[in-house]
Amino acid sequence: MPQPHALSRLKGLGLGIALGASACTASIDGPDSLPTSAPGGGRSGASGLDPNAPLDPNTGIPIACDQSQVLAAPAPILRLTNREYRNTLADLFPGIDFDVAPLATDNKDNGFDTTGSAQSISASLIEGYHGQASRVASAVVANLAAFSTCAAMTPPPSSCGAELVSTFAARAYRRPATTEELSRLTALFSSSEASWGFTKAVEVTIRAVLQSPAFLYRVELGRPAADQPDTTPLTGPELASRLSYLLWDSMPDATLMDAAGRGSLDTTDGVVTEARRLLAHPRARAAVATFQSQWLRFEKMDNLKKSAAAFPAFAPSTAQALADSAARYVDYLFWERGTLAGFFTDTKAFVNRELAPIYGVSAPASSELSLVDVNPSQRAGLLTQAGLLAGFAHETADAPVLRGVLVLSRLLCDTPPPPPPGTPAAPEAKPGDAPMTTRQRLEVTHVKPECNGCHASIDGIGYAFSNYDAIGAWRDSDNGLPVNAAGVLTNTLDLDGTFDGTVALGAKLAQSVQVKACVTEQWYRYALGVGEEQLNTCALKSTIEHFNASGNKLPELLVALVSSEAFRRRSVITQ
Amino acid sequence: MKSLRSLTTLNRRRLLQVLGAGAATGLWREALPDARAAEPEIPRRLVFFYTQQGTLRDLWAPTGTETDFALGELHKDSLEAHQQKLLFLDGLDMRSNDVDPTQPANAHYGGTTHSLTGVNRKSGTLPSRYSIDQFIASEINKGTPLTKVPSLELAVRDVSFGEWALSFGETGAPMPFETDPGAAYDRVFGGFVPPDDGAAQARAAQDEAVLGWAAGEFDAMTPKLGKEDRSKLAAHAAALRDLQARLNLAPTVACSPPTREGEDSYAGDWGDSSAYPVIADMHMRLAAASLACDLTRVVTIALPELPSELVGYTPGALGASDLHDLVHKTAENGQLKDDADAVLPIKRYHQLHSKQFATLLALLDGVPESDGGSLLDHTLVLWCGQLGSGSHDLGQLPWILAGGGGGFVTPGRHVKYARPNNQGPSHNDLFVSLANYMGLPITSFGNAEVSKGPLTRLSV
Repeated sequence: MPQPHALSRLKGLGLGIALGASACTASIDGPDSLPTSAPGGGRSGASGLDPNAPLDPNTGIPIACDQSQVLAAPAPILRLTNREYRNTLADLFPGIDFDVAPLATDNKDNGFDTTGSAQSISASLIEGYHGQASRVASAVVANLAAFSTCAAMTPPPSSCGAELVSTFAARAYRRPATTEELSRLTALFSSSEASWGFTKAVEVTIRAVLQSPAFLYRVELGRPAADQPDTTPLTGPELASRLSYLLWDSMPDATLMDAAGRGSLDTTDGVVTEARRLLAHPRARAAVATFQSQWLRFEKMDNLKKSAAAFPAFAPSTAQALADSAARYVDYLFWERGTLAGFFTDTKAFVNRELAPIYGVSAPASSELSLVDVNPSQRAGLLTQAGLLAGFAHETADAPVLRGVLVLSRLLCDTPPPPPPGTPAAPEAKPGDAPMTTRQRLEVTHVKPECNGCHASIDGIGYAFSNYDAIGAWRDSDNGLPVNAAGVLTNTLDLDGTFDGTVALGAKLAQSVQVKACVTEQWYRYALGVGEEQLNTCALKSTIEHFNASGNKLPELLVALVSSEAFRRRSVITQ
Repeated sequence: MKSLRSLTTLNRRRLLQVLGAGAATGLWREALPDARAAEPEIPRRLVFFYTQQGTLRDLWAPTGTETDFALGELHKDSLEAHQQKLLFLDGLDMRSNDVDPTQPANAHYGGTTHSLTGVNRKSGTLPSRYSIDQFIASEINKGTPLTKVPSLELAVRDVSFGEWALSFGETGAPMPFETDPGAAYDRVFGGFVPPDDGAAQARAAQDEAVLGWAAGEFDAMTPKLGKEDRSKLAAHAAALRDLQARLNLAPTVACSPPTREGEDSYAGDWGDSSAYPVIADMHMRLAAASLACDLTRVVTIALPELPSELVGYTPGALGASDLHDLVHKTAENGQLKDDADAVLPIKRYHQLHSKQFATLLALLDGVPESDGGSLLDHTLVLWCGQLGSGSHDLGQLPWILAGGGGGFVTPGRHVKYARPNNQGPSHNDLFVSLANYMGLPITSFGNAEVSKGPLTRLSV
């Protein structure tokens, strides 16, 4: 069945009805009863430590984490995401053409679709797998030679069935099949051959394997050992899958499976060698891009709608250009710029004819995006990326609260609690009122004692973005009044203090250990498919130290992550 | 291995126009000799028609008496023809949200996590349990599936995630919705094989072999996992076996699929505002055809985020930043509630949905049933949503029940529920009634604290 043209875009359409800038007015007892978190976010996840335990200023994680702590995370069984499924099918059947129909949308947790606990089954999903398996199997049967040389012979030799079954199972399961598994699969093949002939038996076998748990799920039983009561090392093939799904969004290639089979992945050097090989390959760029778009909530740019009255030049092509520019920019920041500090201090942007006015640079001739220098007193890396600023804004007005929460949640790992029930939207300007900036309008309610507990930290960051309007363009005035972009950070590990504007905010974040620990944590959650509460933050220690030692070079963060104990082991399975 | 039941020859064939006047949909159907004796001869169906932005309270309620009333401005130019099949449920409250101890992540999540679930949230963004549509679909298909498709979830814009998710599975995970009319059509009518087909017999045997073997692999693997993971694989195995059973179902109605009319292409971009009503129409046609062919009994249709172009509103105009903002400002406590120019686009918003609702009712009413009535007479269609009005009030829900439900309700009434201390019946009560309607004898649904029994006054 052909892909439904642009309809596939509908699957990802964020329903962009913007959140009202909400005030915290509510009937609660005053600031003392509001939830507060420990400085630096103070999460400990599943480390077993007090969430308010003091943090190490070099790593941003609790000082009390010591090497004797159980460091492995739980390894929830993870079904392939739709993206991983599509890529895996392409790699499992090279040289064979088939369409892949969209499957039921993956559930997400905190923006990540890799989180195991968010996954669920629906009738529609199971039907999708069933239909896709049939489609693939039919395509294989139409091109048997690409799948199996012996199967394409006329007649296929008598050993072909057994050979084909065993080879295919090992590749599809991403590990050699057990004796019992092979016996059950061989029985299916043989009975199908007896009923419907050899070719149909191949088709039935492929349809069946593509709906089996060993194909659809990443099962990590590990290699339990009596002398290792706290954690279990993963087997070579299991580690190969973890590496490959993280760095290539797909099944391991032959070289990686080979390394796994030879025991190379049992050593740190072996893991590092393969990790670097995978990272050097273009496929790694797509995989990193997936993480970055989920981490930074790029889905907010899926349905950008802006007021035609306020922004007459804003067209669907502008929205598309902003989204493309954001994707290319974070790609450049990770691979070319290459350091975490660069994320917050870089002074370039991907600009075309349409985006040039938004960035205040002279327009290139074409609609193609090109990397240009932008004004360093107005732009600093990720925080001033126009697409992101536009995504975290309303149709006409900017949104300090949304932008503040983005930074707190995705860069400082200190998500504020939701507004209390019954919190109404901030009062709007009425006709006849004196003009106010967005900041002035929000401050009326947010500084009240019952609101200030949360909004001090949210707005302290959010107001620093006041120089950027709803499409991410620089402005010196808002509603005719001069912009006030003074900000303040509080309750952080190493960022407390005042600053003015987003460029200054970027300079602070670039030096922050809390940010470094947070970015590491986000990668871990994504890589291991665990939610915030399940991640053992102590497990991040060796990775952050390795990252520090590398000079905070980004691809090196991933090398550090995959060579850590937390990545190579799992918690012991409890029956 | 079950064999496909062969059809007996039937005397009469009736060509039915599912689409209404002039459309050559080519859907024909004839009821087969009773496939399941325990069921009433004409099955009961349930449809949820879910829209956003609440309503304009003054213009929603009919005027007059319970049985002799005139429709409000939002409905009078669209629903007049169906007035005798409408039951206005005036005064239900979403009380389950009032007693939920878990704060919603924002005001929108407050309504959407409760509107069809009536149960406590498990987090700021998700309910802890089923929505009523999924509960009913799951229960009526438990053990032996009733229909090829347990339930249909159709949306004009994707509501499978985030703050507009409205339908949830057993553990509160958002249900996937189909936004692509072609894919939805294929799910219901795809693989439709004429019954007297030898190749189909072999195909069925192969399906059986594949699915049975796969389910066996899940059974073999599950005991090796830790206890948290076992239920995940067990659910998957159960779904495989359920699919196996559904594929083996003999049809109860001999149906030929409706013709595809534009499901696979569109002159513009499917994401354009002009495509919105086209997709909505296709979903409603498919819903009617699926119910008529007894390929499902439960359908949920979501119509979120009606584009502002369709109601003639330009964002930034009339003192609001966007349509959503205008909805809030024209609500009963909003600063623009008396500004006729500001209210007009919102009025059009709800009137447009009312026309779509009328289209759906006409489609269902156009399918004759064997008792001389129509499919609509054996269906209940609930027009619902997540807001009480244009503010974030979750009380006095503007919900309308349409259809006869096979005699379960007495339609053609405007029921004003008593509201002592300004509190009306819990919307959970309605869900208990809907479950009872579909043959499930429950006395409570969702949060038992606010669910003590069925809703009163649905029939007289």
